[in-house]
Amino acid sequence: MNIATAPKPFAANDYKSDYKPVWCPGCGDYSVLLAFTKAMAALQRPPEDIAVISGIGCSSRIPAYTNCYGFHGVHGRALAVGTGLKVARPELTVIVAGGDGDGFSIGGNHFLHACRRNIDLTYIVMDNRVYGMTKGQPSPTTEPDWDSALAPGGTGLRPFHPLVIALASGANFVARSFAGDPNGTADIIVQAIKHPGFSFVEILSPCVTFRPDQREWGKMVHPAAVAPTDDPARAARRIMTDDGFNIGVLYAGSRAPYKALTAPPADMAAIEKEFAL
Amino acid sequence: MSGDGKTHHTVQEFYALLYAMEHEAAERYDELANQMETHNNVEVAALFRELAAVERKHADKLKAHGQAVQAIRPRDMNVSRAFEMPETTPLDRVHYLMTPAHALALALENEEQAARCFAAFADAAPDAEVRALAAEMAKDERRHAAFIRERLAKLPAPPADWDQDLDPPRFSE
Amino acid sequence: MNDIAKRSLSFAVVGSGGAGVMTAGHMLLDAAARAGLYGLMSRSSGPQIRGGEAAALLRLAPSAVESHGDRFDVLLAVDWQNAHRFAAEIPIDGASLVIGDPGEGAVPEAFARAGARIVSIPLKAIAKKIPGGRPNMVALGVLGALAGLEAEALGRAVEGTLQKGGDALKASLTAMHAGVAAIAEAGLALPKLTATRANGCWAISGNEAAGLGAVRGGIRFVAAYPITPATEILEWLSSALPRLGGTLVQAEDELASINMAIGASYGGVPSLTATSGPGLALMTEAMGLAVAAEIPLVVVDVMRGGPSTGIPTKSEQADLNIALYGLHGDAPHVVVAPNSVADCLLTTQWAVHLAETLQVPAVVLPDQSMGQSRVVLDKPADIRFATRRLTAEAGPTNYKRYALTDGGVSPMAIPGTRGAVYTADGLEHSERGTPSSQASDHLAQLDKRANKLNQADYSRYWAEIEGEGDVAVVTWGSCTAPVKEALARARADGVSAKLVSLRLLAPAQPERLAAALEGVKRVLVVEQTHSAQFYRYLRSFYELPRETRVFHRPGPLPMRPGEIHNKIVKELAA
Repeated sequence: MNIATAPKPFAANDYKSDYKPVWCPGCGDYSVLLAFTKAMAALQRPPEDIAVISGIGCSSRIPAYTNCYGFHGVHGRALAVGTGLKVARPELTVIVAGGDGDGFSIGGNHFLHACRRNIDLTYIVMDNRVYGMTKGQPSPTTEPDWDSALAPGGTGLRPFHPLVIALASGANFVARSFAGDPNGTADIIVQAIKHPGFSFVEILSPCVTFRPDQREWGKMVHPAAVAPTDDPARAARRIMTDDGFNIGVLYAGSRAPYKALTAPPADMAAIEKEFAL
Repeated sequence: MSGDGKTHHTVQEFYALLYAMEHEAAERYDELANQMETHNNVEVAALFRELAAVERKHADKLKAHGQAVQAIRPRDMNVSRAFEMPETTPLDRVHYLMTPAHALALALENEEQAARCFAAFADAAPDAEVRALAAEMAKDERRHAAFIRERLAKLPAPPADWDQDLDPPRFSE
Repeated sequence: MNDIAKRSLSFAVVGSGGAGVMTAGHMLLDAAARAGLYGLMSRSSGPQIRGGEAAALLRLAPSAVESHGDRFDVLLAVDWQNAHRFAAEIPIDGASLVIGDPGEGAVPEAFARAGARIVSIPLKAIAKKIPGGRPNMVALGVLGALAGLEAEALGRAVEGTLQKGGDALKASLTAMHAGVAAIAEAGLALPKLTATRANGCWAISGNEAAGLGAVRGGIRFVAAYPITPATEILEWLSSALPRLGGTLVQAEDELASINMAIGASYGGVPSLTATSGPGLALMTEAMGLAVAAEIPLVVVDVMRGGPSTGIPTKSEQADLNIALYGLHGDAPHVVVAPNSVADCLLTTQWAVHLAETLQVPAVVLPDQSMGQSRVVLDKPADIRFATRRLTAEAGPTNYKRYALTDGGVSPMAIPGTRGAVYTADGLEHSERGTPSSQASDHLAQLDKRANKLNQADYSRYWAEIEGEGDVAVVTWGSCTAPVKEALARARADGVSAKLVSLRLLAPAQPERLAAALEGVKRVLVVEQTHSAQFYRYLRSFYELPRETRVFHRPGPLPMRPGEIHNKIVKELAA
């Protein structure tokens, strides 16, 4: 091939659309968008071969901010939409994105089953431990003593541990990242996409408006002390006992990804034969 | 030098690093300008736009010295801040009500950061040419910093209630 | 039109605890088909998963049977355990024949009081004499003989159903023949049905027909969550789809299944899910999403007794309201309803065509009585719709997914298409698809989504219109068949009435109905709901003659030609 006519590689900005996000300045999701574009540039798939599926919430705004095919669906159902799309169009790279409320509250059931199904897609949750879009209610990952109008004094409820749940439900790749490190996050997203089966990445993404206390997260995150394991039991022990700020790939398993049932091809006449007497 | 980054660079590689740094700084200022525009903070938007243009000029000068040789990992360059290049304003340091003083303070931090980083290279880089180049760059950055400091001094300090918004947050969905 | 009542025979066979009543009924239908007759079979059972009381209800005739008649000619009981449960569903009278096994006790009062002729045939004792013989096979022989079916047809039906072969088959055949002999011995006979059909035929259930219609229409992705009485559609598709290059995913709930179907359709693959009332209620939010984002989708709701959990195994037409009005906001979409078991095929296929062409959800409304009944029919015509989803070509600059086109349908970019990325959104949007709260965008898009449906051509399938007269019966769905039979009876009495059975319920076609009712002075609306949902729908959207009445009652009992005929005489003929 003539160097002069070789196609230009995709730059990170090729994966960004012209739409200017309406997230609050200071929001972690800006970094996640940046990380996403860097990750896609590392993978070099044409933007049109990537689909970003989301639900409802601040984080779920992300599809239109990318230059990929996007789907902004209803609250909590993004994993179902992504599953249908991936099964119908397995050659696409399907990324499902959303927040902790969308994903673990209303979306909780679909989360369990997506992990269990182990469909080859990547689920990115921007976890800010609050419902931001609706002005600051506790989410399933909120600390029990966080005060809010809807739950004065705190919910008193133990927060969800999504990484453990993902592991227990069968996710093939479990990782945690921090939005403040867009390059590290990009690396993890690349690994997640490359890893077959259902990859779950929890990205700690501070909410500047409703959780200003999360500014401290930058000081609390630290690289995971040990290398990722492929032993679910070991991973479970580690994740259940970590401080919630352990950054890195925590589990990378070898379960075979979901495979749709196939059958020898038949034509309509063969199908209809069963009705003929 | 840096955490787990590379420590031995050729001059070509160092130029590529420099370009990447300036380029990223410019992109970041532009991104922040966009954010400020979307949030109707016109003054700071203009300021970020200006800073972006300056960094872009620096980047263009460096680009002439050759293409970036490969994807540069910012860890190769980092000195104090954990995650991004020294001159890149972290995305979590902005606020929709920030004042020009805040913006310039960030820019100052960036320049000082870069200066420290280059000083470290000037001290310890194995390649003599790189050391020389780094020393020059450090001087440049210190000059930029002084410039910004001067500008900053002319601005009034932000009022105590600079981040007070009488309107409550809005729903949009 | 023939008066089918004069030339049909209806059989009911009841039994419990693994008696195999359903199997016997199935074989009887099969045998009738092989003998050149047509027939319909439905089933009724107690709530137990196994061992419960069961009834197989059949109607056989020389012409197509689309519903049950007013009465049963024969009620055969393998045993009477809890059979009184079925009394209301098995109307018998003085002219009926009740056959019981003397060893199983007396005929229950619920049946005895009808005054039918009671005959004893010791099915169990007969079966016991045959090694491996079973009472239900004896019952099959009894019924087959009464139906006038040749032993050969009965034998082939047994062979066809019992795939096992060997001793089990032999025993069954022997038992079956013993049953035939018992009837001959008792000297019992019914007026013979003369078979006229020469060529082959099909036997199919409404649910299977819906599945077949779906794949004929082009469905290649199905998301499935089981629910009575729709599960058979999904199970049939589960084995058919992979053979056609399609896929089926079992979802964790209806919220997942509807969203999966939307995702797959967004990806360019015609998609479907099937459910019943409670599932449809869960799906309404996502259906609104498909309306707003203009994504083709087919949702089959096999209606059952409602509200809430209702009566899962019985039929009713009361999901009309939720199908029409159940989406929040102004969310125009397509609703169609098959009017018979056979029509489940065409209507579902048509729904796929409409959904894909108009980029909208289409709800298909069969009901349990159609879905779970099995009919013998002539091989359905191979109808093709020239279905084509309007897609965007590669590389348009500034691609507008929701462009305001003349017909209202805008090209849809399928993921993978170069240069046409967009984000599908439930939020109101501009032509580009960007979220918008602007008045002009909202109005423009609402108009677009409404106009594309209102301007579409619904061809001749929108309704089935028959007959002439200045009075008419307007109905839909499974009421159509008993209405037709009632009208035939009325015609024989000199009352000539038109029949209009709507297949297309949304968008409403007021002009076309007005044309169909031209010259009609009196209308009787017939439906199976408690609150007259269909009547109120007609009143909302259509002009009706001043003298319009409604005959409506809820499930679970099927609408009968006789009761409709009475109403026709009372309301229309007066």
